[in-house]
Amino acid sequence: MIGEILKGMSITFKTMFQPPTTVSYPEVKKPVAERFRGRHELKRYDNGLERCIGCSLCAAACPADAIFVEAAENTDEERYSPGERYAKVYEINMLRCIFCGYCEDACPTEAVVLEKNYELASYSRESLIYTKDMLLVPHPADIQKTA
Amino acid sequence: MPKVTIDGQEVNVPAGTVVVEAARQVGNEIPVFCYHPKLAPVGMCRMCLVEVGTPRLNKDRQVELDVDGKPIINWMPKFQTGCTQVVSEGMAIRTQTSQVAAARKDVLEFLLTSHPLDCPVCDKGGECPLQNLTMAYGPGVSRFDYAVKFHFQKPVHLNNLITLDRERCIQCARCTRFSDEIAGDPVLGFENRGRGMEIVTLSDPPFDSKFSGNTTDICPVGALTTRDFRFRARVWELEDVPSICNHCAVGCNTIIGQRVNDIKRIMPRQNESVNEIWLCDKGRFAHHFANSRQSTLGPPVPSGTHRLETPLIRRGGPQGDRLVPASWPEALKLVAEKLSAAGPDGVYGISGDRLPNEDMYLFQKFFRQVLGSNHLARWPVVARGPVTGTLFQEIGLSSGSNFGKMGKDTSILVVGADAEEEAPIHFLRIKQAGDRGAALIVANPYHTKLEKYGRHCFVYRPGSAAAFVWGLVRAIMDAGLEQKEFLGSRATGLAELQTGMEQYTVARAAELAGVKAEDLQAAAQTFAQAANGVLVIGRELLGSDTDPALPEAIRALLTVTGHIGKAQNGLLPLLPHNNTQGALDMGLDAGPEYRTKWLPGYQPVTDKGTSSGIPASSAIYVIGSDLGSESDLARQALEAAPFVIVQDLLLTETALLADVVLPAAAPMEREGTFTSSERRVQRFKPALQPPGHALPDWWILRELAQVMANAQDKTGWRYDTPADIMAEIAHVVPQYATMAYENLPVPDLPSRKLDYDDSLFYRGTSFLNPGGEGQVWPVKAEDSAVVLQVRWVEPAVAGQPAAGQTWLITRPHLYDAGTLLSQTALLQPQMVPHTWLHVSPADAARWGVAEGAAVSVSTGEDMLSFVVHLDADLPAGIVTAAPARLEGAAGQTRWPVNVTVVNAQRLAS
Ligand code: SF4
Ligand code: SF4
Ligand code: SF4
Ligand code: SF4
Ligand code: FES
Repeated sequence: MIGEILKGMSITFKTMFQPPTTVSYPEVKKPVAERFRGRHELKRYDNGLERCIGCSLCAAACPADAIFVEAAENTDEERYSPGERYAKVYEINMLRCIFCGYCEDACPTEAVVLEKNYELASYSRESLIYTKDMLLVPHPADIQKTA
Repeated sequence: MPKVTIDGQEVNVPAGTVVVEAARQVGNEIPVFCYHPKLAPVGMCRMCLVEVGTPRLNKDRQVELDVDGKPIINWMPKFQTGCTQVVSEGMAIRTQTSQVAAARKDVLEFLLTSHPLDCPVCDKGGECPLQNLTMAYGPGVSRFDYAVKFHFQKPVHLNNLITLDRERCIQCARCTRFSDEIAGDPVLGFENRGRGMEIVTLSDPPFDSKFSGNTTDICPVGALTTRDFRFRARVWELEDVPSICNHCAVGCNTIIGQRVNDIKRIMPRQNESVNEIWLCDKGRFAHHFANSRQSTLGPPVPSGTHRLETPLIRRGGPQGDRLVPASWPEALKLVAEKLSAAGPDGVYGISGDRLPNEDMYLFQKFFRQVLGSNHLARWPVVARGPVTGTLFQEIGLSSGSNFGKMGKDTSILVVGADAEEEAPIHFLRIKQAGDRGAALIVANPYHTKLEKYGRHCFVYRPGSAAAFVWGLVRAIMDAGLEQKEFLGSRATGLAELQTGMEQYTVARAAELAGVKAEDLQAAAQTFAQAANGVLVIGRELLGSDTDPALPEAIRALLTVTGHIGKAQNGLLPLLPHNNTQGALDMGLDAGPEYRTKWLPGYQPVTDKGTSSGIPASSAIYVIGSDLGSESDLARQALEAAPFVIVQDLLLTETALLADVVLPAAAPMEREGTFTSSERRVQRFKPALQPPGHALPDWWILRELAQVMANAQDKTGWRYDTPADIMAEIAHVVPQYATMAYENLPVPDLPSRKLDYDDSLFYRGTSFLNPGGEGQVWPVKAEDSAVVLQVRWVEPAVAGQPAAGQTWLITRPHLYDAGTLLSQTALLQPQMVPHTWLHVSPADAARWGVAEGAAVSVSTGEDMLSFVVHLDADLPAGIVTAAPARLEGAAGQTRWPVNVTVVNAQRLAS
């Protein structure tokens, strides 16, 4: 009887002096795996043009039907992406998304990429439909301005 | 019927069949790009390569047999193109050998060497034959370096509707062949050669064709796409809803491609009895009226035109009377009160002729049953004159007729109709019948495009159509070509006709009509001697003020030639709107004197009503018509009326005159049926949700009836769906007895289901029509017991246009800038404004006016102001204007009319 108690307590005392494994999120954040699939981003080319051409292939590939794309035509005055076509509306419903990464696979221009951010909680359903401005990475010129 | 063996399978096919068609009969798909069953084969793409052999013959020209008793085949050393190779007796074809597979792969690899990597952005992607055939037969990878591909600058806008991407073109010549062979507009061609070969338009204005959209359907790649659909959706995202075009009385079968409650495109649905696989550009592009909804909730006094979303009631206020939004119960209560107070003789109902049958039936039922009034009319006044529904239901084009089957044994006589402008797909099919050998006779007061294909063509004096038709009758009688046997049993009044016509010789007719007597005789002979004859008449003959002799002349012509009562024979009126025929059938009609003429199903009216003209103190209920913008007369009546109710899609000029405006659902927002001018009843399905609080017309009428009717009447107004109304119509209208919805199937196309049965040829470009082709109700003359009464009535010929005189006549245009069409900005360049006066170059020179000059003309009674538009098709002395402008002009009732120029803006000297 005493033996069992001592055995148990020995484990308790042993661990007491080891460093803790829990991290104090959100003050401390653990790095995620290299191939982690988190919140999507819509990428740009180095010259600032959007990679996305509004082809809807990501939406077609999505098993959760989470993506909605509406395309429009670039003009010389108003150019968003190289070529003729760009995404006028690009929305991902984060409540539907299962983070499978098929959209990234389907994309012919490597525009949509599942990045590392996993902090997606929100107070309303509406705010979880991410629009194009939320998904698109900042324009390189804007980054320079703020830096 | 040669017997051929395809991959060991024997099949008998008619002589002249090409190999791909023969293979298709045994379910063997030979891939094609340039071949199209509606076009002459050219062998441009080499996709259809197959191995072909013929039986070896011995010295006695007998087929040599091998040891198994099978014919020995001499295989041709090279592949043959299956689309141009015509079968012969005993021919053997191999389509599944490794050589054929290699050939297909190489052809595709070759085509792809100069094809861009555009699939993700290409509007054809997802229904593209090049994609599909590459998946099925092509190489998996390209050996060709993308960097050395031939590049063109893109895109090129061929016209305001069609976009060309030259890099994508595989030079199959489907588009050029369609334009040359089918549309009769040789306006596309190839330029340069080799890799640099490109499609160019040869006309000015560019790609000048009313059928240009069809080239985008048959183009096997995304080289030709429409501006309307450009980048608006991927094809697999669309929900495809079977519908019927609501722009003219041809009744083309369509598919509405819908996404998030928005029409993205309209495509043809195959119906070999109506539109085959074609649509005109109006039907394809003019759908934007349904989506004209800039606001979610109409501003208090909605300005501009967007869809009405709530009822509006006119109320006094600090800024005077204005239309303010109201609730449905409020609006219905007000309407019910006013209509009850007005009493049966104080109400007047005017219906447009674009509404589905169900709505028009309920509208007249509402008036006749609930209000107890017969004061009903249909707008426009077309087919309200002497040539009207009663004539069509007597001798109309017989059921079972199909222009697609007319050929050498048929003669088609077109009088007073510009088929291309009034019913483009009818034009296409009449032209095609002519190409197959049918004798076309074309007679109009001006030149029309159909004349290019006519065997006998006439330009008669304006207003002399009756004289012309009587001339044909006389010429037939003179030549003894009347169908004596038919006349003996089926007609009376022949002797009186002969005596009556005594003085009316062919020479006299020719003189009155201003044509040559010999030509008249030759045309009469052609028409009388053809085994089948169809008389096509148009807007000019359907006016409310045409010659009372016309219906008699038409009946006499068709009776003496026996072109009546059997398939491929009869009278086809090109009616102005998609459901004018339905309006006639539903008893929504009135003569020019605004008096109801018959009940649904042409049953006689017992109470003639008391009105003559729209009574000044009546409450007027207008449904689906913008008559206020078309006619000064109507506008005055509406302004004078104590209470006006307008039920429509848009805040039209008519609606602005109303006291209550009720928002209605567009045809694509509800279910229903339309009746085409061939009397074909066809069903369509809803594709969209109506905006805001708009409701289908039948729904509004039902609610109104329920508010107004007393307890026992209400039982008659329990309709849950249009199907219930159609069931009642089938009961009440004898012609529609078999047309309950269960007998009028329409295919349900769940999401995107292209039936690939015909995929080889139409792949991705047209939809099959498994739901049947609609139902045509038979005319009286088809009953062999019916005896036709012919009668001589002297034609009242309009005075002779003398030298130096000018005659103003009405002339319809496809792109007439009416209320619905004006909503489609894309078609703006094609539109013909109502302010235009079409003037021949000779007259313009005589008047000293140029294009765009303002002119005022006097008819003697009225002054009309126009803008000059030069038109080389017009003979000197004739000027034309839109029917909508003239038919309702105040004071003047008879067209054509002699006009004088009062005030013209001269050429700047
Ligand atoms: S990650 Fe998967 S579920 Fe999420 S949007 Fe992409 S395809 Fe859809
Ligand atoms: S993200 Fe990629 S796949 Fe999706 S629409 Fe844009 S380009 Fe196409
Ligand atoms: S544009 Fe299209 S239809 Fe015309 S030749 Fe090129 S591929 Fe053929
Ligand atoms: S021909 Fe008439 S029915 Fe056919 S598509 Fe054109 S407007 Fe519509
Ligand atoms: S060559 Fe036969 S289909 Fe083109």
